[in-house]
Amino acid sequence: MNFGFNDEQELLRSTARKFFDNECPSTTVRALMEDSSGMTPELWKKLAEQGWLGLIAPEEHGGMALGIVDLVVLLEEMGRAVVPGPFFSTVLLGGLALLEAGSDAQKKTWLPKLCSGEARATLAWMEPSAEMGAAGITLQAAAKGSGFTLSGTKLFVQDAHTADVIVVAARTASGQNPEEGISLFLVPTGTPGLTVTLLPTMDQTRKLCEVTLTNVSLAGEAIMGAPGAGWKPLARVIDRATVGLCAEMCGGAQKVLDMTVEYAKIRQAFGRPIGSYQGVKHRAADMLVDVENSKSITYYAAWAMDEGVPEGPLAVSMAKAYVSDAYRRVSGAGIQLHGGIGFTWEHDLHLYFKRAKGSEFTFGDATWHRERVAQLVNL
Amino acid sequence: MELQGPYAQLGRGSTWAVDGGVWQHSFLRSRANSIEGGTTEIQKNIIGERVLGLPKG
Repeated sequence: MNFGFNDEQELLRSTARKFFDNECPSTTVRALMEDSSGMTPELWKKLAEQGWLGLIAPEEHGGMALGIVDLVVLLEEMGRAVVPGPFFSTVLLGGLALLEAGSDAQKKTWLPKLCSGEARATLAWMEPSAEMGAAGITLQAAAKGSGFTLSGTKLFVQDAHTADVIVVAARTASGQNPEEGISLFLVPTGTPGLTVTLLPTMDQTRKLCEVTLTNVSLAGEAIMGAPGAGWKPLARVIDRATVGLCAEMCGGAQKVLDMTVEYAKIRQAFGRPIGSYQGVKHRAADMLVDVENSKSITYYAAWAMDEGVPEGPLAVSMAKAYVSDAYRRVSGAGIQLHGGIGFTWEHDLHLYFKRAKGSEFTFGDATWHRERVAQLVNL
Repeated sequence: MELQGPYAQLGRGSTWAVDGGVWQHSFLRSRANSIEGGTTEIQKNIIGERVLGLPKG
């Protein structure tokens, strides 16, 4: 068994590092976070040209047919550059939902457009209850003739305001088991009755929306897979997206560590570099431990997803529980070790600090995932 | 912030933000509190040396 990245993955990493250094420096990140779309058409086109919008899509639909481990390499680099915009929502949320649950016709219609950058997608599953599990999905989908009528509110939906299609998780039946009766629907954003409202976020590099459906009429072919069988594919999407998020967080944490160590070597206080003081040295070492552990557990979870091993969901929750805390600690320590300059607007550290805090609460926080770990090991 | 769960992501000006996003603002502000006016580390040095009488580094 080989635990390292292969040559192609190392090449992807160095290519992505250079690409984002050139195409998305922090001046661009700051411009994009002020912009409501969070992306420029030029940068989106370049991401498509690299093939990255279709990294994990099958070749027959215009993708590169790579795995979650490969995607993790790219996402680490995106997190390192705090890249804003709908890459994550298109590739890991809407795109993955299509891959996991879409019919052949639905894949044929949407995946080539997602891969080419022509269309953007996202996934709406959480509701105002903010409940992560299946019981949180209460939005009603009533059968009407050969189609469905959907009504309800979705919250924390990434990039719905710039998406062309939203995968909506809804309830077609209610019973004892909340995991039964959930169905996924493909809803184009122009559909009458669908309202999208952009919500101001603490981490401005991540755009979240409220999505309201008021008697939205859908044809029968809008449903993805068998009615009521949507939870399994949805849970698979969420697990994979969570690993992807952990990878972004690892990349961001590594960058904060790099910036901090660099600064500790040159910044002088009382006649010597601050890195020569034990108070700084020990904290920097703690940061390294956090970063390395985060990467190890994330790579393991990514491998577990690609291999489909039974402990996959456990690995995902172990990763998110750890990385949520670690990135928050590392980004906070980075600011502390920089001192006064660390919390100025001009310095980039606040971009990472806010991304860390926002990501902590995305797809379940550390507490939620620790509970899931406990459940999965039958504690 | 932890009690808010996913709502912790929402900031000032969002209709869904808890207490109008004041907790998010305070959270971000608090990151500077352990630096400005003498960092936590400097305060601990002072306590160690002046209060506890430990030798100077």
